[in-house]
Amino acid sequence: MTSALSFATLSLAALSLAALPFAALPLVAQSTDGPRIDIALPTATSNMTVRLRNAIDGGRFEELLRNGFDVRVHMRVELWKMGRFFNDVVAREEWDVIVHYDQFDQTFDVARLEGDNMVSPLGTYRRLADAKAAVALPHAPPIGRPGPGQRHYYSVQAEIETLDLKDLDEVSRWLRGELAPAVQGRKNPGTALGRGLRTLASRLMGGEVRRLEARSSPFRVRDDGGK
Amino acid sequence: MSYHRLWLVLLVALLPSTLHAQTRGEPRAGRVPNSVSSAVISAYNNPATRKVEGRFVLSVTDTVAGTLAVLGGPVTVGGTVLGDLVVINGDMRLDSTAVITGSVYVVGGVVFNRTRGRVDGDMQVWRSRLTYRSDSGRIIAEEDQTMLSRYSRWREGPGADLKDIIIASANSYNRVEQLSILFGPRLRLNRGESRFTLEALGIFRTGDRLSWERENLGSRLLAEFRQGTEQQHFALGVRHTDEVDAVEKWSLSAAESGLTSLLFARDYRDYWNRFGGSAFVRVVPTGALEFTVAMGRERWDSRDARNVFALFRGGRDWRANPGALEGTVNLLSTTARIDTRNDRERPRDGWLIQAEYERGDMDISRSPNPEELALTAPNLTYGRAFVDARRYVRIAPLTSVNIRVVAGGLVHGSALPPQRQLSVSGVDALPGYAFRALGGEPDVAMCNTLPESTFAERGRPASCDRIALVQAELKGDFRVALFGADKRDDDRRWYADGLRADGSWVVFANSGRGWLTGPRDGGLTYPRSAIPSLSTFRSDVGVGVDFGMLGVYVAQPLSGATTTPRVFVRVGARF
Repeated sequence: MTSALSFATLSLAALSLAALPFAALPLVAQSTDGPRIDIALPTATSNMTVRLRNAIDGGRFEELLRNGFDVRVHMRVELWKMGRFFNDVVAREEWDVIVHYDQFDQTFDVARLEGDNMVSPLGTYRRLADAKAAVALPHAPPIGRPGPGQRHYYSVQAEIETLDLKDLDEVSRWLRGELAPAVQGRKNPGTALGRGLRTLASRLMGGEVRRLEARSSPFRVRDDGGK
Repeated sequence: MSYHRLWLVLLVALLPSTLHAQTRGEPRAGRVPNSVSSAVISAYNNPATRKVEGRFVLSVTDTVAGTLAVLGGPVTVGGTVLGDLVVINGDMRLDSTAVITGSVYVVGGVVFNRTRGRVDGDMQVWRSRLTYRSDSGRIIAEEDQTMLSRYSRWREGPGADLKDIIIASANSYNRVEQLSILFGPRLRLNRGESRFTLEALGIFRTGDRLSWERENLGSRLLAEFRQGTEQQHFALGVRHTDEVDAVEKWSLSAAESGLTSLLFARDYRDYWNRFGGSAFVRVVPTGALEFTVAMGRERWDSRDARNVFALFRGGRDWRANPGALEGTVNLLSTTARIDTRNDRERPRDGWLIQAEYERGDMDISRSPNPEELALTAPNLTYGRAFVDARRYVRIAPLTSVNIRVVAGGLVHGSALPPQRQLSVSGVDALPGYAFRALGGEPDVAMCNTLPESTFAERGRPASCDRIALVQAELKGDFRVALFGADKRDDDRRWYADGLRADGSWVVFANSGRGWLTGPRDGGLTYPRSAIPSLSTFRSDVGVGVDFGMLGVYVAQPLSGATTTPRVFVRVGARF
């Protein structure tokens, strides 16, 4: 039994080590046209802004979007204060941007959701490229401004996923043992299983969930409000 | 100057300064401002405007005197417009011969070749479509209520009544059930913030043969009333269960256990069967806190391992599933969960504390083999507490310290039934040591007192009355810079769908052990008021890299006869 884990783990280790070069490749794209988060620090006259560029480029987002699966971009901004020993979160804001394809009008709806029930439409577009541009609009979350003196930095996380895939992710659910509807209403169980297999493979290899993270440079707000 | 022309000029003058920063004619994303939509609609509805619907070409020899408004498009302009040009929900192409003496306003489209031709006035282009309705040749702007209501509903969660036929899995892939398929109806009624859920689900286990027999069947029934939102509510309900449950769910995750079972016939969990019912009350005062109290009565039975399928079995036999103490038990359980983590998947800050207490009063008079488990009384009463506390602390922008303390076991009563006993073993607890390998003499990993052959024959069961485990890790983010050093002071990192292009290095240490309660002996049994000294704990240290969904580590045991480091892989963070 002592070697029991080794076979499994070494196989997975070899798989993961083989995948490392491929995992590193997207970094090159990040520096040019890949998905990325831009953080603009607050100034004396403006709040910080976050811009998520190229969020749904590549992958299968476009195909899934055109097949009726909304894309959700969940954004979280945290303001961290640098202490002597620990860093602390002093403020946090979250919002969503939803992209929905209307099959009848063949248009893309984009909307931002903030707070409990605040919905800000970002437009309806005929072209996906235009909808992507709406997703990439800079946003100034009401996160507040850090006080003068101490050093702070912003941390931003974005999670881009295709909604409703939870209904299809059958195999993943077998493995996790969760109770959630795999098949709702008229969906065919066999189809769901097939799509679940494809989804699991897709997620393992790079599919419909994308996570990005960015951190600003540490900054200190002066007593006059500048940085 | 006509009225609508004045409108458009005023509009340009009043636009926010940020818009002026745009290059002339560059399409703008975002919702079309009401002022813009009002202006173009006013221009279109003006009786003096020449209106066109659909595709339109203004050839080089053509001239339009006054404002030209096109609905739909696309529009190709090679001639002259002596006024403004308004295009609604269509694209426009400018030829080099085009002359527009006024301004160009395109809503719901783009302008191709915007530097060609001559446009004397302004050129504003909005990508977003204009939502309108037609009425007697006029157009009237409409708020897109469909989209607003759709997203509002999405934000609020499922507000409508729901009737589902559910097909899902009841458990992770395992050697006792193989696949366990849940199927049946779910009814959910929503009235404001009140929600009533009714589920009646059957369970079919594929096992080692597809047959309709008692061993392959189970059920799960639930009736629950909830008042409040997901983040703040109280709920009460009743449930019935006839299911297989895992013994030590605190350790390796269900996903990892299911994955290794399916792939390599390595099942790192043990199971027993629960049949019975309970009533429960759940209170969620804030999103970070959850308390549940449940009372019920169940029949507990053993489950045998079955010869189920694995993808890469390699001739290995499945590990035997340890026997459970069988009987009827009255249960009272309370659970509390405090979760202040800033991120569920990659926490950098906050606490996660899960605590539970279970009181069981078990009738084992009809149990087939209580003497084998060294229990002779007809009843077994026990109290079991368990805490899994995790603290995530960021000490620098790129560096975190994470600490986990797991402790639990018998707090009162005569003994724990085997299915509620514990161990400190496996890749989640002490990865430097092999799973369920005996932890020295005495065995502080599983608290085994049986001969090794018997121990292996029974499936290497967890037999500790109590355990304590402390885990600490230092994590630091690194970047993979394939083409030279990156001198940026800030940091951007992204994940290729689970695999992180930039990962974290991890240095970790674990220390823990299990023990029995009773009169003190040579190091395995301690009185209830005593805790073994730290020098008796098994410890390991290690390093690794964490790429989000996948982490590769090597752990070195620090005590015991084993000195060989072990390589292991985790799907997700260690904790």
